[in-house]
Amino acid sequence: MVELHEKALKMLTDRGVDEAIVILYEAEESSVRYANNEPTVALSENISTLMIYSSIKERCFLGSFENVSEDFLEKIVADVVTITKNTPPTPFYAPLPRGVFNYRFGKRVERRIRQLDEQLVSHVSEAVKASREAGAERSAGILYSRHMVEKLASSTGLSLQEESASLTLNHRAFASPEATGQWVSCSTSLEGFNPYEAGRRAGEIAVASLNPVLIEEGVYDVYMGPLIFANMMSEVADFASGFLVQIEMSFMTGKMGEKIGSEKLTIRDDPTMPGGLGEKVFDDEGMPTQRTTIIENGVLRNYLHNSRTAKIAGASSTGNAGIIRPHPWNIVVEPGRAKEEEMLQKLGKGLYLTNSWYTRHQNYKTGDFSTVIRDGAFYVEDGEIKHPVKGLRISDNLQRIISNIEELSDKLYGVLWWEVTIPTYVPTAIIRNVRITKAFGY
Amino acid sequence: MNDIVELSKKVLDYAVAAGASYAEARFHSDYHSGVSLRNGGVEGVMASYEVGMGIRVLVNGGLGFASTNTLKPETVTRVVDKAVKMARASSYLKTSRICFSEEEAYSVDWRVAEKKRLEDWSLNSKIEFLKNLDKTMIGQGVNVSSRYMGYSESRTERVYANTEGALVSTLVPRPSFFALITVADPSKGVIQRTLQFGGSGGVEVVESWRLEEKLGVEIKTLHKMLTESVKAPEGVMDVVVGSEVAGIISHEASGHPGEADRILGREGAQAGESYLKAGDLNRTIGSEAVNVVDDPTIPGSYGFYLFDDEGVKARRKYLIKEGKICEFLLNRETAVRLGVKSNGSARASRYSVEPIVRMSNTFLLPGDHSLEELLSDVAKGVYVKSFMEWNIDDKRWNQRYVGLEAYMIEDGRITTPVRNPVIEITTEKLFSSVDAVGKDLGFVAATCGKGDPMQGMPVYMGGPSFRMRNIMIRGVG
Repeated sequence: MVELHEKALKMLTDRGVDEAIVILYEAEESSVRYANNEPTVALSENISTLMIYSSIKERCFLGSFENVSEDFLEKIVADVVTITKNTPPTPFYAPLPRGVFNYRFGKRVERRIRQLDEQLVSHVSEAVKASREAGAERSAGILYSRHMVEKLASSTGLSLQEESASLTLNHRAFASPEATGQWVSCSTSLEGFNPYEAGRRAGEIAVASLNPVLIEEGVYDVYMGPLIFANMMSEVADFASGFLVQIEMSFMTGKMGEKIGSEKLTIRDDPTMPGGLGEKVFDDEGMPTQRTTIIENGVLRNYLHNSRTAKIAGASSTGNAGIIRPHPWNIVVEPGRAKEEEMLQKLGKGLYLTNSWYTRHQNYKTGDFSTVIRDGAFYVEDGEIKHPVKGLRISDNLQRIISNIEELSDKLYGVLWWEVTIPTYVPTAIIRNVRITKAFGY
Repeated sequence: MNDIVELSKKVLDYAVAAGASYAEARFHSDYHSGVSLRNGGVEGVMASYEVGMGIRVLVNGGLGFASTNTLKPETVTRVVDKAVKMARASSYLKTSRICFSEEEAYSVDWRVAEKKRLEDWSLNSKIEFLKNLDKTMIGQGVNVSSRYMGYSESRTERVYANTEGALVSTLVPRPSFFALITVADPSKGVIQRTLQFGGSGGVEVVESWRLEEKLGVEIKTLHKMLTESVKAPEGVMDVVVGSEVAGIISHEASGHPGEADRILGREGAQAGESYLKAGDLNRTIGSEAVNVVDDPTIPGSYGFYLFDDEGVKARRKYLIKEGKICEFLLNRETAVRLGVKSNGSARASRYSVEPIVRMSNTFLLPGDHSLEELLSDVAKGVYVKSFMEWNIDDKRWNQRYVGLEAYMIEDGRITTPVRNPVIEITTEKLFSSVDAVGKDLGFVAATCGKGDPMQGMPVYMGGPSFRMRNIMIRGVG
């Protein structure tokens, strides 16, 4: 039986488009949201989407359609062909990649994740229980189970299929309105998913945060836990997108080959990582994905490209399409050698920060930004936590932050939640001389 | 749409038979199309069509929501089964039952009229329009090293029905425009600006933005700020902010903390809670000059609606009245918990997400001062007309706005441009420092993010210029 995406491709090529890619996404998602220790809503969706890219004489169109029944296909295809013909040629056009591509085999997919449904509620219950046992009063969060099948057919002769599944829990514990802790458990396997541990870690941070005090703003050495360091590193890696670099919305613009970070810092986009939350076999142009080093020992080595940004840059695609905007799939920061339990001792005096949110930029090209510290934050002296602190913000520059990385721990955490939307694997990190500010009026 | 109404009725009957004490079916058809230009060249033409049905049920006091884009009766009933099953499973863990406030069940069809229909504006004309804007930007005698801009429009049709007899049909066309601009100078580096415009209606809305004129002014201003600005002064002084800054403050420091779902903890793990508690109505948060409202009924606005996504009639809400917390933003679930009626603040960005408490058009009400009057008795201060970087903590107490177009105020007059003055302040200190409010009410369109799954929602943020006495200003770096 000819599937919908193959049928759409044939109809498009029959009607004279020069190039086309059609991807059918079949997504199933269930989730349980909870607050004040109880479920607030159980959500589920079952949605198919057809993504179509077409070009005629360098005139390009990109669309996504959710009315994907056979009845609507005729209208969709007619619309796509008409719009493509009426579009002016784009000076940024690049032909779709052609060649003999080798794709990785053996991606493991935990299909049992699809059938969890009611069990999601009991996983939530485990996390809530763990936070309570740690001494927190109440918890809030969301647990997602996701399953996706992606089917690609292209005018360049590709016919590809990829499946993925994951469980992601974002859990926040409250020991008081001011004393909160957050942790995640994100996994592509049932064995790797540990809601109890996420609840326990969040609960412990919350309890340790009771009665926070205000401190003076200034320049501090900082120890970053996995959530906040993942927030910083996902920002950094995303700025390697060839699109953002070319429209000057990245602090990496014009810095290829330059030392932009500490020698301790190596960041890769690694969709080949087995079991990675962002493990991916092919991109939106059907190119095989690859492991790409973005920053190696502090030196900017590669931008992330699709065909279009690669052509403009005189480079090759790195298998990161997005048709318009290439992006990382699975960010991995190379771990260091330090043991995590030694990190506070190595910090000596400064701040231990567990999480941040609301990162915004004054100037994308210079890297000036700020981000609000949230959840557990602690003042540290002589390698020991002295007391929790509150009301702080990192107000600094991204390039300066990554240049001041002094130490990385030897264990990686996988992070994916509301604030970190690209799967990111990070160790914990010590960063020297971070500018910390607080609000007037406290 | 008759077949959708029929399908909705079948879905509701099926849900009740499956054990739901309440059910609603919400059909959305959202067509988006757009074109973007990179440095004057067409990047691409885009379109998306999202169409499907979201079904929400209450079962034993548990809330379930499920969605599908296969609108066949047998598929939709399977989706209802899943919503009922999940709602029932979650109800076992609950110590209190979720219920909704009693509301009038309206049967109504409301539509936004287009004086000049968007669909009659051809793709080529839109591209020509954008190209002319690009020419305007590069014609200012300034190095605009990167220009990325886009025009897009959406057409949203909805049919909402619930088991209490409500039936609300909606049609809203919305045009929007964005630009990312970088101005460069060989010795001074770069300055950047992001701009967004949006509204509801037809091509007449786009014409009302006067983009050509505004972009020309923006480019000249950016160049002036880049090449002529001096380090911002630091210390406690009087500050006058422009309409754009008043808008973001109203949205972040009054609108979000006034959302009842945050106040009751429902967004605790994501966007957070609020500095406000359920018993905080009438709490003084600012001076008597501060009045903030949320009003979805402003014709032509980006956040326009007449009935919300629970079928409740929309109206203006006073969030802060004469410096006191006056009303929260409520949906039916939070309203009943607070012992009141919903004020029509439930919105869902697409069919596949649940309706949650949202803002619409949130703004500081104007006073009676001209800008000159606001400035006139400031001996030394800063005027912050626009901003780039901003953020606020998850209780909406500790916020930061970094000025983009900003000037010294000396002896009541605007003088030297200053670079990136920083207002970093608590909400109470900010609102309590306001002593005079201007009459130059203006609005900025924005896409507000909230919820998990994330829902981007069209809103206006607005207000007039206003003055704060004796607040801290600092520089960046």
